[in-house]
Amino acid sequence: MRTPSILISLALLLVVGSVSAYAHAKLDHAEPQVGSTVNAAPREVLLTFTENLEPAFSTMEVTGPSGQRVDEGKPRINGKVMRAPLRADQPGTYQVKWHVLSVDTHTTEGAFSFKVSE
Amino acid sequence: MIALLAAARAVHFASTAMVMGAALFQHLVAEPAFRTAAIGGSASARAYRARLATILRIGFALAVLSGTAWLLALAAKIGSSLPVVVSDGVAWVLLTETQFGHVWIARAFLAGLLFCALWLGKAGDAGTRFRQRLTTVTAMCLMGSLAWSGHAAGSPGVIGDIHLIADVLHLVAAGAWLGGLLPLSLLFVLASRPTDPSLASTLKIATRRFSTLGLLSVGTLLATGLVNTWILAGSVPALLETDYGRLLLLKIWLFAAMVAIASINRLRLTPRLPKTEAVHRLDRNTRVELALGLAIIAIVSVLGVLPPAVHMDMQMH
Repeated sequence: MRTPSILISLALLLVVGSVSAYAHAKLDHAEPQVGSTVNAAPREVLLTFTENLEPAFSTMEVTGPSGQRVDEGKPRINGKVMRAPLRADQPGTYQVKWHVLSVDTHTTEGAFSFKVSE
Repeated sequence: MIALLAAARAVHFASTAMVMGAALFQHLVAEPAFRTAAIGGSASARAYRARLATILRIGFALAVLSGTAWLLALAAKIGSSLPVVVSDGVAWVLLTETQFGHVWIARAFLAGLLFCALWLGKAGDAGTRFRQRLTTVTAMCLMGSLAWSGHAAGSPGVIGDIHLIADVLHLVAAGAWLGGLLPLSLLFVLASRPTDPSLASTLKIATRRFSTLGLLSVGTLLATGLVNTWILAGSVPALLETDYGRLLLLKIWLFAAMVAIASINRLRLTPRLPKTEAVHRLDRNTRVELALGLAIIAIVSVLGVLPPAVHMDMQMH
């Protein structure tokens, strides 16, 4: 027909923009890796996300094989990266629970474990 | 709580667009049209300006209230997942220690400036050029700064910067077009009063000027939509199978419908002004566009709080 049809077709293809719900920080990778086994207890757990984080509302808890907390103090956050120093030396399964707020105000949380071998 | 957040967002987007649209419409469409028709000092023009001032003030009040509600609803949503923190404490931390909060503080300063511009001086005057410019600029900044409350604000790197600029332009274009529909509708209403024929002479000029503004807006919305789509490429197929994706498609359809109506207005009806039939149809079409625009705002407000259903390895809220 004319200009209106062209505009409509273009609109159908293009106006996906202004998307604001892809705003959740997903865990990109972790060290120690999710579900992995390491030789020695790590000095820290380092989590890298897909979005920048808000330090005021992002936390991490690491518990050792006997259920006690092994992370020390508040985790340090720099951009997309959150690191929690650990005081751990026991072999066994460690649980990591994280809860973050991305800069665009969406919260995400998750958990995983890793093993320290004998 | 999510519903409250979505509602606060919706009212805030709509009222901010209302203020920006009205300010820009007065500056770029109404006053020039009045000057061309040489009725700048007439009673009709003063009556129109007074109504416009009311729109601006009501919009401003709604924007301040809903902006505050947005902050509080967000704090409540964040706070519920932190075991020990009281809601009030969370709101303060949110305001003072996050990027969102800092943006909100900056916007509060802008709102202060806008308050001065809107409440100083008489409602029936065109106002000094400085006051008009101050109103328009602060309103545009208030609209564009909403980009910092969205996805682009958290995106790292150069891509994040491009995304942010695209979002700012997208918001300002939407504000100019959607926000301008109300003052345009008002012009039709006042101009069709039989006791007041002088405004009728401005209809053709005003509609043409607004149509040009609309064209620029649509072009910007499409271009920035392209940029944002390119940035999100790869996620698009996933979008199409989720609730989120379906809402987004609905947004696109509504936009397409608005563009179709605007095309009819520009290509078929405006040339026939000031014939009565053309006036009536344009008036009706403008209201339909306004309704569609509000529906888009409602969708955007919900989209911004929905979690994407794409990832199964973690809980999100």
